[in-house]
Amino acid sequence: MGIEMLSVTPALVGLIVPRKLPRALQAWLLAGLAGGLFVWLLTYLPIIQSQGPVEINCAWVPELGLTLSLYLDGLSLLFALIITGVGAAIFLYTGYYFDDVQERGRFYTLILTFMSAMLALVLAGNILTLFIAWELTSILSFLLISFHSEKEAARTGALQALIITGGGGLALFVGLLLLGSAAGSTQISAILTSDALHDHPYTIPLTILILIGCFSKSAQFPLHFWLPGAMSAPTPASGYLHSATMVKAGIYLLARLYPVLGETALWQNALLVVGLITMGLGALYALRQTDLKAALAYSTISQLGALTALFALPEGEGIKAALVGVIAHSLYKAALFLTVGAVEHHTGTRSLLALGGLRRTMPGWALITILAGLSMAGVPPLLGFVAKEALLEAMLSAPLALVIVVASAVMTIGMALILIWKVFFGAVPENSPIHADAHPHLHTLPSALILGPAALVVISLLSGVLVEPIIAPVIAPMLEHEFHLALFSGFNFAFFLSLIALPGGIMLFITRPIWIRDVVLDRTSQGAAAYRRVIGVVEGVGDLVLRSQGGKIRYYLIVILGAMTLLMGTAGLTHISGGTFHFEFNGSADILKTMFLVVALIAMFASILYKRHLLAALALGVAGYSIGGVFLLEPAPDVALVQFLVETIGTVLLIVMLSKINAPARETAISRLWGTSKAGLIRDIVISAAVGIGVTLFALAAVLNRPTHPTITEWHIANALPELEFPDIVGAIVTDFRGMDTIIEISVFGMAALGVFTLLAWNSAENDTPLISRLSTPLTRTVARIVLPFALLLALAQLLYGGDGPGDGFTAGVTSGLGVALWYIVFGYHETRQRLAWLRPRRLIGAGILLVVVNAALPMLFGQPFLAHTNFDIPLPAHLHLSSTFIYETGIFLTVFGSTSMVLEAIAHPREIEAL
Amino acid sequence: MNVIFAIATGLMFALGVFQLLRRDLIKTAMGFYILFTAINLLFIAVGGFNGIFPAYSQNVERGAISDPLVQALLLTAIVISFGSYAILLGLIAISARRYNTTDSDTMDQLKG
Amino acid sequence: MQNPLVLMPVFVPLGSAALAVLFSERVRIQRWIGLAAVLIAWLASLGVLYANWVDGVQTYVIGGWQPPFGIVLAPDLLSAMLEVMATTVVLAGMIYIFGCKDKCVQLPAFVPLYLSMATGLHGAFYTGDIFTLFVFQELMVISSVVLVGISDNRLGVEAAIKYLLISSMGSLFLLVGIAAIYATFGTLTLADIARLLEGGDRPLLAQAAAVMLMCAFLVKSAVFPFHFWQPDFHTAAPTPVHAVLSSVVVKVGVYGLLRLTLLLFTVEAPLVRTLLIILGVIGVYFGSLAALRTYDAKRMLAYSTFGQIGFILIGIGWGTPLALIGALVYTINHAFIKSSLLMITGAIASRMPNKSARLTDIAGAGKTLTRIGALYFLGGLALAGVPPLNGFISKLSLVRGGIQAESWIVIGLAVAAGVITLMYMMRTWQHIFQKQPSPDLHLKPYGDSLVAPALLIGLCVMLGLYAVPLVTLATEAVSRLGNPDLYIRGVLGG
Repeated sequence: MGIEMLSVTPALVGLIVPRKLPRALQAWLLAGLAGGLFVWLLTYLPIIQSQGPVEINCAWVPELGLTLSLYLDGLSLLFALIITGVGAAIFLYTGYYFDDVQERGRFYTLILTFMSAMLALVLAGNILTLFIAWELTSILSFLLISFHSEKEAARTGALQALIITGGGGLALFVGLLLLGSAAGSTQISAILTSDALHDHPYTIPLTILILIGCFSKSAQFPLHFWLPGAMSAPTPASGYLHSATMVKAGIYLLARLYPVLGETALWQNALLVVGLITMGLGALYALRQTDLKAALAYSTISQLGALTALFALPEGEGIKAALVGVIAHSLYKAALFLTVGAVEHHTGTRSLLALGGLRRTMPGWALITILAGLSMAGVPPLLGFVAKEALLEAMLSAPLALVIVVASAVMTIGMALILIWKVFFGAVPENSPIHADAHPHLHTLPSALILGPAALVVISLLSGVLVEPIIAPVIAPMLEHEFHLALFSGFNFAFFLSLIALPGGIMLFITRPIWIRDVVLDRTSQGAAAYRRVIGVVEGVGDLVLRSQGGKIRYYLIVILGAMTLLMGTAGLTHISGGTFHFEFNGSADILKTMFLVVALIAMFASILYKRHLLAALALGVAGYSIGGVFLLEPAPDVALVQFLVETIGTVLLIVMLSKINAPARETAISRLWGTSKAGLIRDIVISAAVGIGVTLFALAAVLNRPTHPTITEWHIANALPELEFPDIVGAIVTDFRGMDTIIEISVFGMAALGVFTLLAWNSAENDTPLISRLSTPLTRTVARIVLPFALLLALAQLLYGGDGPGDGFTAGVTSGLGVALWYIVFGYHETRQRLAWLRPRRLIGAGILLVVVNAALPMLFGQPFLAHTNFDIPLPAHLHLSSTFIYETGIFLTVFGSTSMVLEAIAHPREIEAL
Repeated sequence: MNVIFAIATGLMFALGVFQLLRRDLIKTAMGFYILFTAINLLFIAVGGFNGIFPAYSQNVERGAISDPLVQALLLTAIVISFGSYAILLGLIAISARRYNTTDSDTMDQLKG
Repeated sequence: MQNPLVLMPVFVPLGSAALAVLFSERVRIQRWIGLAAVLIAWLASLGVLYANWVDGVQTYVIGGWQPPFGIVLAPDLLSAMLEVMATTVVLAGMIYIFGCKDKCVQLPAFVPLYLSMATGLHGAFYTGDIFTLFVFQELMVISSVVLVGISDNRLGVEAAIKYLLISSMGSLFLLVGIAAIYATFGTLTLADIARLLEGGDRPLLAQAAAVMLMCAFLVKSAVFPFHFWQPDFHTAAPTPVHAVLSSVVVKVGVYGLLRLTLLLFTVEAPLVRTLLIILGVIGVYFGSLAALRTYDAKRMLAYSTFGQIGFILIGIGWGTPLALIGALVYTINHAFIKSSLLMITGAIASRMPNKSARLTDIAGAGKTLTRIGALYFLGGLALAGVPPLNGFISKLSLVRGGIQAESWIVIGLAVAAGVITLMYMMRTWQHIFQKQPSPDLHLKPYGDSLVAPALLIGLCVMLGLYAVPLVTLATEAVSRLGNPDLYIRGVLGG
């Protein structure tokens, strides 16, 4: 087992260990786990000191430079020790903090997973591994802040924290990728030894981006405001994530990259300025809070600012102070948070204004608070004192910074004193919830709750006194040069400054009524307000964007066609120059074609002008037939035939649909046909003209720039007869050379029919009446009866003897379908359904498509390709030959016949349709 | 002749687009139909060659036939666009009943 | 070399659609037919992918008529990968249909139409012929229009009309482009066109044709400003259809754009790419901002697709090998993430009394549905690109591509938009799963089955933790795309 187990163990335990263990067992087991990991880590200390960093690599996605690597050096070890050590205390506390079994289980799972992620973050040996862990901690922090998700503040605070840290994470992401790209490796060990970064063009941007990431995570000004907002988290989470560990991730990364980036002016200036502002503002806000957790949060911000500023110092001057500061802060701040949790648990409030005199009911906690508070204030012999001394000593070289540091120290002392005094000693305020008759309202705390924070304070005290044997070896591996660390390092200038700070803090404490007002500062803090403003602006833009989705299809089409024209005009057609203009006009056929085209255009124009739908539909029919005439003259007889047929059913369909829409509904639309504004009409005309001109140019270019090489159709012409014995080349292409197109086309036709049928049936109205016979005379009845069998016979003949005409199946299907249409007209819906009960359109469509597909697949059984042209050697009467084409056309016939009759049935009476 | 086809195609596109942009959905459907008819014409125009005989093998020797491939493509395109047209008409019939008008501007419940 | 496996994803669903039509009275049998068909299609597509990996372009010459004279199905590694993505989501959608409580899903036409939509989708990815691409697209469009038109959501009809009209404009552009290509090159096989273009023969119309085809594909992918149909159409669709539409059907356009810039118009590509980057950035912001503010959870995901397609376009626009790998990985991962999120949202909506996914109705609806909440949370994180889920792999490879392209401003814009994604996903998650539900909200005891989305989320997690296969495939696919000769020779021989 290596260090990789270290980081996964907590998450695994969190998932495996049953959630409903007895409280004490659960608490001690998990605290023991964290403690065990702590001890295990300690065993690495000598290894690192003697052999250098431990590294483990495991390729994940090598193509992307993603490697799961762990890298354990002194820095990682220190942070890992804090994570596990503080973790042990927090886990123990957690067990007794939550009363509800469900909640406790859920919380343990989350916080154990968090521990894993956090360990992975500090142990990461690859910047991408680090980033992954970084994001995971943000996510788990989100879940923990919104743990009590029914509270609005918890949800908004969680989201705000996620957006800030996640957004910073994105900056960090790009920064890290740039770093990897500049250094030529994503491995931390390689980056640390790389000297490519000194004058690389990426260095400046990547530093900025990485710093944004670090600042967002470590709550540096002006991104600090998420941290106070995160105080809705259960107190153990606040103590663990938002003071001891996660917020230090940014500090960790600063420390990690200090050797490679720390010497640039950008780094030093940015860190110093941001760190000092954060430190000062944090201390000031902390002093003025009335919510205890918010006060602690701001004090954390202040400490983080100090740590950041320390990494601004050149040549590693600040590292010693920073490392001691990290340890000291984690110990006392976690203890203070846990105490506040206990107070809130006990009294139901955490407002400074409502608390007082708790030493009577919480004596042990009072002692803890005094010790932890004094450590925060930097009073010997606690570790906080050592940290503060180191901080002052490091800052001596920067006089301006020193002023801010001392001022912050004064405010921190004042805040610590207020905290200790107000909560545990001062008089209980009037109208306080705890004031009422003595104790009945107070919740008794489990006695074991105190063990966790007590342990932290004891360590704080011990390590302060015994700073040399305990702390020095832990931070030694990180400091290249000799260093000195002691509780008392003599009467130097730093000590003198500490001496000034102490009475200053006491002065603040005495004059506290001036400072503490009945205001809740974190709600109105400017950062959060700015955040909300930004979100508001983004949302406003979003609303604006949404307004473009106005719901009116006309405008959508205008935008689409306009964009299309614009693109063609600017990019597409600019490269077309005139080819050789060369006008052929061959005799009478062309004159006729031109005439037909003119007729078609006039008819189309008429269909625009006619306000009555029926007339417009008929005009459109005329246009369609004229185009058919053009095809016939082209000469493309097969196309012309299909065009005529489709035109017929198309016009019929349009007219039938018109009859299904009541006249008033159509009238209202027609009355607004030309719009109300002239501008709209002009706009439409402009768009139409632009599209028309564009297409004309395009088509002219296409026509005039004929290919210089032969088209593939030469091959079709040459091979239709020899390969297929088809005289009709178009037929050969449709059925064989490009037979697959036809299969899909027929499926489109069938599915469209099925679709129209289903749509009409599914959306049928109550008042739909069946089509009744309008033409039922003996003559028409006879005609209808004859026509259908005749049409079917004709279809059969076409299929059997055609063989050389394309779209035989299609033609046959449509003609037979028209036969059925006649029945509906003559006999009406009910009688037709009764008499033509054998006609099951759906079956026909299914069978038709299936037949086509199976027929296409059949040759594969004989080693031929899919859809191969096969002649079956079956003796048949003269002029008949059974080939795969025949079956194919039969399938098409069935599909088209079925589709046509299905649409007819749906139109005739959608409400009666069975199975719906 | 192909030049005339090209120009006619462009004119039909203009007419079709104008018709498409009417407020009346039935007119819109008609515009749809005109546009797809225009496309058919474009296909004929871009054929590799034109002739005076139908594309039968026995005519090949007699001189020019028209490009059979574009005719085959046209057959497919006509049927497919007819399928879309049929569905469009069906949908319009239903929506006309629902909104009690074929005015497309009233059909704007889906927005935002 | 004929590989019959290539036929199966196209024709098995088509044949089964026909078979299902014959079993119209027995919806249960239809579903089993459908499941078998999509399962076979899925397995076959995996087989094609494997064969492609080993042997290069797989072809099936239909009817034995050699290209460029006949039609050829010719999936290269790109097509094969996208096809596996499509068959997977279609399979998941089919599984969802089994547990779906919507009324329209019980209709006898539902399964056949679903299968024919799948046919069109699969064919569009596999075909090596540009006209056949049009035909398959139309099959897909018509089937999906009907599926939306019969949706339980009564606004389906309105959405279907809008989509049909706008999509037809796309088809029109495509046909005009095809006509231009045939006029200038006299051929329809993609590989043959590429061969002619490669031969230095560069007709005047090439750029116009490239722009025309680009517009057609942009309509299919719902890219700004051709996007108007998408939020309506997707939101109104029945859940299983929505999942397929919003995740893989929109990718047909992406596929077309990749083909366009990497195979056909490689010389015109710089122009197209510049346009794609501009439209991509607009799309990213347009879609993400709209998703942030829209009123419906399903609609939010539709707008989100709009934004996500923008990221993919940016990748295609950068056009460097790493960026293309990124775009490809993004395309595939997004399909799984989005389809699962849609199914989850649909499953929650199915338990609402009015089946609504409106944010005002659905607030707190998931408070007690912890498992659904966990799935949605994972999906949301994956969409926002949070590690170690597959969305992170997409984001990572895309940004690396951007760094390779040294396109700093666009990287900045794209990454900044990631914050909006995180915001709308997590805010909606909180809204549905953390808020205190209104006391009037009475959820139905049973809703749509969660099997399909759970499988897809599992896939997302797996593709995040074990991303090597996908990334390796994408890398190889892009390196093969970089050499169009491989495809041309693979299809045309020689």
